[in-house]
Amino acid sequence: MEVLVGILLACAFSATMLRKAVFDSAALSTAGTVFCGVFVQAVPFLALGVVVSGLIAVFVPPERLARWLPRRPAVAVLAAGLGGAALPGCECGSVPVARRLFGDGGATGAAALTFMLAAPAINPVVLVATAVAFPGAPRMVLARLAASLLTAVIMGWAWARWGRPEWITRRLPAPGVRNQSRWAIFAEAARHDFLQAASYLVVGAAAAAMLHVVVPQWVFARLAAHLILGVALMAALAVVLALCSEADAFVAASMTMVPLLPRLVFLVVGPAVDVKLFAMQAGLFGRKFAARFAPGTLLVATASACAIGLLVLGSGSSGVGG
Amino acid sequence: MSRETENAILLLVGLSVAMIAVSGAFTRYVKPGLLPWLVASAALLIVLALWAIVGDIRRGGPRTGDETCEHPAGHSHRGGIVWLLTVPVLVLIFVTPPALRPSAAAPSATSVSTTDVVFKEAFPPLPPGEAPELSLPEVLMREFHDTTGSLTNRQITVTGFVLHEAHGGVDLGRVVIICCAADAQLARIHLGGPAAAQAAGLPDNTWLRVVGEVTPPPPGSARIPTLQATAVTRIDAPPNPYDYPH
Repeated sequence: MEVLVGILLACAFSATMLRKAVFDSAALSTAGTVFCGVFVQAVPFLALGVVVSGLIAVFVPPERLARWLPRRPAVAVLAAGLGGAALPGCECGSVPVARRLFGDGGATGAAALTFMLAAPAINPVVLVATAVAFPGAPRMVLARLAASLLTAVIMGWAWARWGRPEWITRRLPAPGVRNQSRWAIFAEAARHDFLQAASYLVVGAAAAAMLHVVVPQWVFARLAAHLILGVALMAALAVVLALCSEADAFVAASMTMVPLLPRLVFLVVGPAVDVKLFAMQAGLFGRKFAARFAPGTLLVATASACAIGLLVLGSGSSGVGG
Repeated sequence: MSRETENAILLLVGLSVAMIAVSGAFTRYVKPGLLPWLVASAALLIVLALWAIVGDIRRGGPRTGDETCEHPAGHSHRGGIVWLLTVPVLVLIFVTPPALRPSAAAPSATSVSTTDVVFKEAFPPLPPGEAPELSLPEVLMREFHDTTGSLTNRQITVTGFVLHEAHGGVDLGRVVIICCAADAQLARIHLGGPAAAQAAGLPDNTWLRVVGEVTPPPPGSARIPTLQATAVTRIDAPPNPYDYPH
């Protein structure tokens, strides 16, 4: 507590100097603004997410969720993927929700991970945004829906098959003594989840801000026109830019020099895995988990976006101007 | 990290979000439509923090892990990471970084909604009046996607800042954001016509209100139209630093 007061006082006294340093340097002020942009944009979604996760802590203990889900894990994963459509919001909110649903990773684990990947990509708000951003290509919406759902379901099945409980090194605090009021359980869960998720959001936002300044803008303009390079580049770009899933369609739409297929990869990879999600997953599930889950998701998302893209958008999508 | 410090940081995060919402500085980072959500989440965070602080004081000291935790051994989340939350608090309260400069926005040839798929539709007619006010992204969208040709032979008024080009021309620019500063893009239109010389004499980032007529780009060139300016007025920077496509 004393340290916190000390930091605050030191910053209050040096505020003018700090401000001048940031305003005078173009790189610092850009990084600062992008950092604030990512963080401030995520706060309301995170708040919504921790309200939902608090409600889950109160009303849906993992045993009850396990009873609701279909008995067979493969079917349960599928149901969770479709259930993702019900949480309108972007990806920051879905990580704490999924962590609550995950519980100890027993019967509901795979379904919770599928939900985490599906919710930010296939909810109605994101699909409508995609339709608005690509007015001339309605198939883009269908392709995004199919490829994101496929990614989520494959990763859920992969967890059910190969996942190890010992990778989950971060545990939630147990839900407290039994005589606590519902409000107390809700507030404790929401408070805990916000502090954990937001701290890791800071790491992600800082990484995104730094990469914004460091990676020159012309890189993707030059390289993205080549199809295979373009796919790899757009997947990498989705990871480093850490855009909100409600905005990424507009950004993808504006990259007119890139063929449709790499842009679909951008839209499918972005909500499933990026630097801030990686940081948040490491914080809420554990580093061992995130180090395996995130690269796996990146590969699966890229592959399923390519497969669905070729199927739905057709081979014409691989040429410029398609 | 002690539980009191965590609560204090949670309270500070809520307060700093409330501060930028009240001061209006949040428009430098996100779109104005997010205001009610920011206020609601600031309120939620402040209530959660105060509830925890008051509850702990009433119980006579913070609860410890053993009281609340049925499996103390499994309680392995480390609290140190929460210190990172002081970073946004300090940046938002004490530094409050400025709005993005045009050089930091992604160079987009035209505007956010220009896709390579040629898509045209009938736009609603321009607002009535001598030279109606249009936003720069809307001008670009009408220029490329409007079937009714609503911009042809019409005087319009556009606001933006001066942007000198590398090879000597002068542009009117506007930074466009969709959700937050991370997705910022630069919309630009060439300035031509009798009043363009006046704009060319001004330094970069001077805010202007320009009256003129839009002429399409010559075929085969870069897809940036030209605004044939008849009048150029210097103005103060607008309250919202960015423009929004919707």
